[in-house]
Amino acid sequence: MRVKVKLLSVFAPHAREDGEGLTAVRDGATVRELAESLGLPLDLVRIITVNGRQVYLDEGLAEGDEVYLFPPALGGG
Amino acid sequence: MSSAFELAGKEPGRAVSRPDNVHAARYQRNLGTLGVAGQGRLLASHALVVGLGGLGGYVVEQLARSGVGRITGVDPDRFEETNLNRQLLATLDTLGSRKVDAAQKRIASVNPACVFTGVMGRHRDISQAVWSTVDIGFDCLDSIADRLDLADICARNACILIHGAVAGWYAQVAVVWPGQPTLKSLYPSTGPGWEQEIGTPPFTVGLAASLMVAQGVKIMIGESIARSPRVEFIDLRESHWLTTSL
Repeated sequence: MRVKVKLLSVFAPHAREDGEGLTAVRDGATVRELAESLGLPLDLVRIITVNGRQVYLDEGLAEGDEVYLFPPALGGG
Repeated sequence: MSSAFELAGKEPGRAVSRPDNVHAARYQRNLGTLGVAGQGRLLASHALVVGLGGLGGYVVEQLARSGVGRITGVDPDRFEETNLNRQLLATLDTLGSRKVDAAQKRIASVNPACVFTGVMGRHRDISQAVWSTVDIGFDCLDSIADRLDLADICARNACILIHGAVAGWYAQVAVVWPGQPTLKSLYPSTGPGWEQEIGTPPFTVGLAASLMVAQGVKIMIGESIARSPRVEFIDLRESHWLTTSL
């Protein structure tokens, strides 16, 4: 299946989109599997939304889901 | 007492009313939002600002203009050229100066009713006398280890902590009620930051600082706000604002 993934902040270089801006992942995959397949450090995947709803790493994904993955910000400016 | 507002009053057009009075003209545009009672509460409040760089510079400025009566600012550093893109108190005139001194001078020039005390040091150097009178703390630090340590010390002193952090286009702000593990949930380790790589533009810093002050002011004036552990996360690149529970 394919999902729409938005990788924010330092995650952005890990994007792996096809020509339609979608990312292929195993049918029924969880957010954790998606994050691992993109090479994201799991301990930094702290803020996750699927279709605008906050979820956690074990959330299962469905075809066409829009997934946002954020790391925490660190700087004090 | 000889003060800036008395001296300013000697020149036509520069007269200002006593800034320790909630009805002073300087607070006119605050009162509709904060109310007379709220303005009075701010004047009686003591805020602790830990870190006087990007976030801390904007935070002390807004606290003073809001009318917070007492601010203790903590920072061990001096201004350098790389601060100029985003740190309000960093100017050509303050390069090489202690950040606590620049903050004190700035606050005195903005609002003499706000008593600013600088601590040239780190959060561990804040005296118990200060902790015993602080109403609210602002985490404007840039190290995970220091942020976690500050949150622990705030919890021991029953002090509410307003956390703010930035990275590139992204800002995050949280109210940490004493004892809540918000920052421990947010930060998995005490590894090095990546903000130097991703950058720290002024608009993100200003936004995060404004959100921190808004949350702090609400608490100081007694407005009710959510007490569950949560973080506001703002992506300025995509104009996306997310409130997450932890």
